Amino acid sequence: MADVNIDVENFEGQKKVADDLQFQDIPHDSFVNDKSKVQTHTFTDFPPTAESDEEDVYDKTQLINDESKTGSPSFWTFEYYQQFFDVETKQVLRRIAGSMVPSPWSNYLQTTIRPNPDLYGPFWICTTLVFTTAIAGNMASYLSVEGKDFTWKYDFHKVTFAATAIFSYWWLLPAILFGFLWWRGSKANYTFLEILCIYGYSLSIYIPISILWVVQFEWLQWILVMVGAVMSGGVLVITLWPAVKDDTKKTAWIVIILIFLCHTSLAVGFKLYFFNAAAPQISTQTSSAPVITKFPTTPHPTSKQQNKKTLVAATNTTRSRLKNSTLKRNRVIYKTTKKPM
Amino acid sequence: MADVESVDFLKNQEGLNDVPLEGEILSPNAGTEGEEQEFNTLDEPVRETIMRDLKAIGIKFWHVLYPKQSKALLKEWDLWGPLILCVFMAIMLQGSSPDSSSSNTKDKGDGGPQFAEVFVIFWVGAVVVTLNTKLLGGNISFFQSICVLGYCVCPLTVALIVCRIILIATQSTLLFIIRFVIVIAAFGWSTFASTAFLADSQPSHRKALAIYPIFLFYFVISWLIISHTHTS
Repeated sequence: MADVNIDVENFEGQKKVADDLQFQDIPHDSFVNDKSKVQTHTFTDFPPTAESDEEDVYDKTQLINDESKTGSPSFWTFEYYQQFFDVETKQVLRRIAGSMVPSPWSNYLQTTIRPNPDLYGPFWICTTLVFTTAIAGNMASYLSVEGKDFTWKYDFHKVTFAATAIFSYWWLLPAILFGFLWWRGSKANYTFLEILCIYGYSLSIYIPISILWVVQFEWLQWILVMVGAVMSGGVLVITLWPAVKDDTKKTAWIVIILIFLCHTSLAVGFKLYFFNAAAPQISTQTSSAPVITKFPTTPHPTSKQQNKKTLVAATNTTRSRLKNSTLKRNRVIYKTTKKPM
Repeated sequence: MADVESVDFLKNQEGLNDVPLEGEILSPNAGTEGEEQEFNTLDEPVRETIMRDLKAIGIKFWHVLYPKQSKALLKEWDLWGPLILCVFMAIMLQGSSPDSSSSNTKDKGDGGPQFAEVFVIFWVGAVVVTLNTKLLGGNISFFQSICVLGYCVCPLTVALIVCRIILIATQSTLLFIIRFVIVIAAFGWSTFASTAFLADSQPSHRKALAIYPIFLFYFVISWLIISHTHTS
């Protein structure tokens, strides 16, 4: 009996369930707020791989032609590095010109570098800068000997020092900056290669400046330092500002000021180390004329203590910064004690 | 019917028997023609072997000094010439070591580069310039490019010898200007010679990008030569 009852009930229940299981027309308005959407969840933010998959499916000829671009070559093949050298002469020249002139209304990165950052320009700019600084530094010290004495010896090791300084600047500062931006979660998405590129091209203004530094006027040298630091530092700051502006005001400004300071201190360091006409960095063995020409006080060869005093006075008058003054003190070689007075 | 077929078949078999199935198996290099193509250096006197290599090096130097034919250097590269030039230049350009012959113990020496520094600049410079050419997409092999760059240092080596001879006399501004002009001329000659060999391997919109490192390489070597003033 119960079965019959249950059967009847169940049959009725089943009928209802069956009705429920049938396809039913549910009016969309009652469920969905937005009438334009049919799905409950629509994708609006596509990851980059989704787009490239579509390209691969629909445009196979391009896949065959640009095989090196769609599939990234492995780190250990030669082609991986070739993609960093995919530039033309005109592009390189345009990038160099753009890095020298700061313009606040167009972002240097977007206009000139963004499609393909390269390593050709920065690498050869750094190499050229190494050699022009070393050569011009030797010429400057030669000229400060008043030119008549041909037993002046040139200092080849300026090359090694300049190379270390410039290449470490070119790699370390972008690495630190990239690490900082990554840590703070900067939304501008500057890749490491782009920052390297920006920094490399920003050094290009120092090449003509280092040649002009040979001229032995102190005021001219300092003006050149200011001009170079302001112009290329300006481009650096304007280009890197979008990367830090999303951060808190304080950190953004501190980072910008630090970038500018590092750039300026590089220029000042070069000027003081290589081109300081007042500090005697060369040594001659046979000259009888005094070597130092720009000192305010002539050194007295009577006592060692007096020599020490003039040494201190000399380094103070050159207005050297702390890090360079230790370098100069080690390199200064005084020959005045040997000169007959 | 079957008999006719079998007779025909037998006839065909006889025909098959008439086809000659003998002959010689020839390899492509067999015979006297192959022996002439190979260099059998075991049988010839040592002098001939060495003279052949020396002749090849000499011909390459000649092509550098008179860069008219632009393909001869590239076909058979060798690195003997660059090695000779590099060692010679490094010996000539090295500065004296400190404390060598001076009474002052604080003497820094000549200030010039060490032998190893010149050697490294030469070879690492050539390798870097070659890598740059290849990365820019040039279709020249690695060692061919190093061979050309090394051989084209020859005019600068000649300039170094001439400068060294000039330095024997007591120096004056005029002699310095003469040395300077000679080195500049040699630098231009070297750059022109190497671009005559290497420039064809680059597409035209990148030629300047490939030539500039060569220019810088020879410029640095020229600076080393002109700065070498100390004759002890």
